Amino acid sequence: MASNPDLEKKLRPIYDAMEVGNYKEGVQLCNKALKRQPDLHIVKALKALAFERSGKMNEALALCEEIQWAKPTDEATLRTLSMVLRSAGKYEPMIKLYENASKVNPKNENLANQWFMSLARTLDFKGQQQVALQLHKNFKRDNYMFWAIMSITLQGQSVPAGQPNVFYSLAERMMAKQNTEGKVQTIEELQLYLIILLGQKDRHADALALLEGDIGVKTKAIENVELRHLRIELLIKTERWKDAREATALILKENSDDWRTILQYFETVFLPIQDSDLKDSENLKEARAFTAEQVQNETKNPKRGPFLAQIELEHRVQEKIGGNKTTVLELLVAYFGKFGSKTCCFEDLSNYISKLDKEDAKEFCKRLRDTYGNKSDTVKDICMQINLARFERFIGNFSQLNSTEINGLVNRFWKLYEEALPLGKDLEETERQYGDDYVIMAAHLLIDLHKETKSYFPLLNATFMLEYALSASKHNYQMKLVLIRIYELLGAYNCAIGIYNTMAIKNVQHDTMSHFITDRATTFGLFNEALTQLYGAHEIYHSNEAETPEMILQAYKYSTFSKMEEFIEFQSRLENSLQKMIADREMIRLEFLKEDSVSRAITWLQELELGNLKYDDQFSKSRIDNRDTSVMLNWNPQSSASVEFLTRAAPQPDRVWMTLFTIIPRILKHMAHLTPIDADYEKLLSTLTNLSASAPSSPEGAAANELTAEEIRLAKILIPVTKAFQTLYTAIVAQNSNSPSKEEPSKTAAAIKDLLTLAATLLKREGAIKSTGVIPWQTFHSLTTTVETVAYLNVTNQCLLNLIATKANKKATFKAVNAVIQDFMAQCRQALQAVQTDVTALRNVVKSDRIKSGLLYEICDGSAFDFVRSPNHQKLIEDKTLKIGASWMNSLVNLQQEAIARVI
Amino acid sequence: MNIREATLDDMIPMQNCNLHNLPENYQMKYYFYHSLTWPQLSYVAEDEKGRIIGYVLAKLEEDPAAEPHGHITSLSVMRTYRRLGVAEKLMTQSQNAMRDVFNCKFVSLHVRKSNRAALQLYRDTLKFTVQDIEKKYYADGEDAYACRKILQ
Repeated sequence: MASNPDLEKKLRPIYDAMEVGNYKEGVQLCNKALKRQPDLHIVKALKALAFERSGKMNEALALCEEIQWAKPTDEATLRTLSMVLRSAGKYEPMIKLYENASKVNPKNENLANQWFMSLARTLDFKGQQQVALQLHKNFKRDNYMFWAIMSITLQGQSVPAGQPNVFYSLAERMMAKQNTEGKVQTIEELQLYLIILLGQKDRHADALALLEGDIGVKTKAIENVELRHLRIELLIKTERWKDAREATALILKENSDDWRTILQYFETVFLPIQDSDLKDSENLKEARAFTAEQVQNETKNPKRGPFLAQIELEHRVQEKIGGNKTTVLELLVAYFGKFGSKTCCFEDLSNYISKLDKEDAKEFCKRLRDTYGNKSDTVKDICMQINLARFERFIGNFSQLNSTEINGLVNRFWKLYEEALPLGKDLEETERQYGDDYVIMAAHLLIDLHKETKSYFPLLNATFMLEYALSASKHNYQMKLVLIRIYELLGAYNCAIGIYNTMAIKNVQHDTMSHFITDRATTFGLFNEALTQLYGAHEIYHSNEAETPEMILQAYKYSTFSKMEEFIEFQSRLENSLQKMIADREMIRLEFLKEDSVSRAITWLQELELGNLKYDDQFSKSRIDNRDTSVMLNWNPQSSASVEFLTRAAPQPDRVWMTLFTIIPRILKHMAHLTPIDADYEKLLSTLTNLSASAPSSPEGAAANELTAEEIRLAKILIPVTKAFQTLYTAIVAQNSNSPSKEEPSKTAAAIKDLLTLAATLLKREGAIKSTGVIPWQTFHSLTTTVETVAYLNVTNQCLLNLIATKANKKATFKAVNAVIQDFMAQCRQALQAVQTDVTALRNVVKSDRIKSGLLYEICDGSAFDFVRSPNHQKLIEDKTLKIGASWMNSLVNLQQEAIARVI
Repeated sequence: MNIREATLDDMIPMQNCNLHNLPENYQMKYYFYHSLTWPQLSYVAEDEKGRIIGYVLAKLEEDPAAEPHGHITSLSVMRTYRRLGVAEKLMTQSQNAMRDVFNCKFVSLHVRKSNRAALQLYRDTLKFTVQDIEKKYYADGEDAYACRKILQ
């Protein structure tokens, strides 16, 4: 707010209107004020803000530019301007403006501060350093010196490890000076000092001296959990074994569960001696005595730490010097006896179980079964039974079963689930039923059966059981994740979305989890639904752009130096997210497909911005993969693939996929503009050729690991088409200039005919679509990719025709080429007609009455599953089957419309 | 199990730990703000493989009129790791820092009225006392128990 009372009186109503969100009135009031005083910057800035808040970004930015020219220097205007520009992601202009303002008012500390902050927003560390030093010189506050040191340290981070780092040396000298003058006082300043020392080679002893010295004491560093651990780490690095062991033992006596300290304790045991000397060493004796003592101290409500420490110790001894294997096995069995009814028991032991010999692993499960196999009366018993089942699965006891055996197990687990239900009848709605994991295990077995037999009926049965169990545990996201994957395999996108939407995915989860619903979302033919998911997930990247830089500024304000790197790293992780780019390419595909007329598609391509469509190696390599693929429960043996992997409908998109779907719009855009053949075009063509060359014949090819056969075919079709454009363009240029290198027109026509014939051959889909009861993902993928391919070809054909029409001086010369293109267009039409025939046949099968008499009958008739046979579940099975059918119908209807719209 | 200070990088696994556990819809900047302003108050628990299994998000109550006190914004432990004292350890760590670093006299928190399990944990295990019922405290209109505990 301005300090001038007259001005304040003028501005008050504007601020009031804005505060209550009345931006329209805000603009009107600004206009009124500007009529009287046209050059009042603050009012202009407020008007820009009102525009921005009401979504009129272009008007807002135009006004901002006007104000920028006038170089305002008052804080209120600058602050308002900065708000508008920030929301548009424009940070650079404010640097200049604050620099200017602070030079005009050198005594104004706040302006100089803002100048520093504007540099911090763009991560301009060198600029920050200079301004921070100036701030320190002019205003003499110590924290400005730390800002400068932090800015120098951040510059040092881009120096590759191992090379001399002048930034760190400088930062260290400045820090040492601060320290001598007694100015290093807070724990955050100490942290900054440590960052600088530990960023350099072989400085562990110095860092340790600092931590154990006066500042360490003064800042109570040793009470800080992190610094206490850092000290131990440094004691180990500097080989002060005795001190390190004492420090770890002290912590463990206080908190025997502290795993990080347990591991550090073992380092002090194993690192100082050779493996060959281990057997009779004092170290080992002492460690065994210590862990045994820790175990003995656990009497009532024992903690897991000491028992796990004992297993870890003997496991390590076994790995290092061999010896008696039964020790570990006995410890594992005893651990189960103590903690077998804790849900985390499987997680605790699985790593050790995986290291056992096959025989020992079998023995482990047998002994558990013999001792605990028959109890399932209490919640604890159930938990123990589920743990036992997890171990059985993990050691391979449920692998390679025939379908009768699997059906038997599924029925057994279903029975156990049902028996556990009464125990949970009083659970709150947010809780899970005790036997839920039985159902998930049953689903995993049914997924195995699907993989083995290729039949989709096991998957249908899994969805029914999961849906039933989900109604009793509304928030069990593990069931939801399996369901989403199974629905996708079943080609029922609406059902998958329905479940996904109940998970309330938010914030960072959009980056890590959205791949479950957005990967190849185009496939299902439901373009609007897919785009809604993609746009929703993209929000996180906008908020990262807008919010994270502000947090970096806060870190300077609060002098939270230890967090600075974390924020910068976090911002970069989201900004360079692989998922962000994969989602972006999927959006481009869908937005292109939404333009169903050729002329609109061409206009869309012409307007497509190239800025983000990078595909070079450097760009690919610097993408960061934040996708969470480990969140799904998995008890499969380590020798086989995870449930997450097994339920992928297609290979997971990665950098090759991203490159392919970057190149396609780029090539099309080039054609849409009728741009001359240049180096860029050649590069696109060669990249496309390289991508599609490695597969599917060679299974080790990069493309085969990421692309489906249909996608590779798409790439292969576009190669001759891209070459045809190249050939025709070159021929037209030669003809026009009457160049001696010009070819006979008939030769050009023949060359293009060869290329387009190749494309047409590839376009013919192999293998007829079977109209059985289920329409799986694969069927939709095949149909949709064909429609998508023709959508691209419609554009490329039109571009070839446009080349002749607009570029050739003597159009008649290219009459034969024209005919060749027309021929190819007819082939494209045929491909679409084939899609239509298939879709029509499929639509007949999935009408709801046909579902009832067909698919539903097949599911229920003579089913081997108790769940399906139970009269109590008939309604649910019918409902869910009809829902799946409705989703198929929805996809088919849309797909048919898309195909029809593209017949030209 | 480990208890350590939360870092920004934990945001990503923390959010997945929340797939079920956090009904309140916190914005990203809310986590940021905590981590930035009172880095000593928020902790994560991880399992032996280094995966996040729980966390406590806490802050200093910035009411100049009241005694200095801490506030637990969010406490979450993954289902698989319930009943192992994880919550207790997280809370102790945060409360110690409140007392030692910020001189807090007490710590406060809110519990959904319907969340009986959580109330039981806070009251019986963690020795909080219910001070008050705050009507319609949550965005969806549910009441909250306002609880507190004196820090010695």
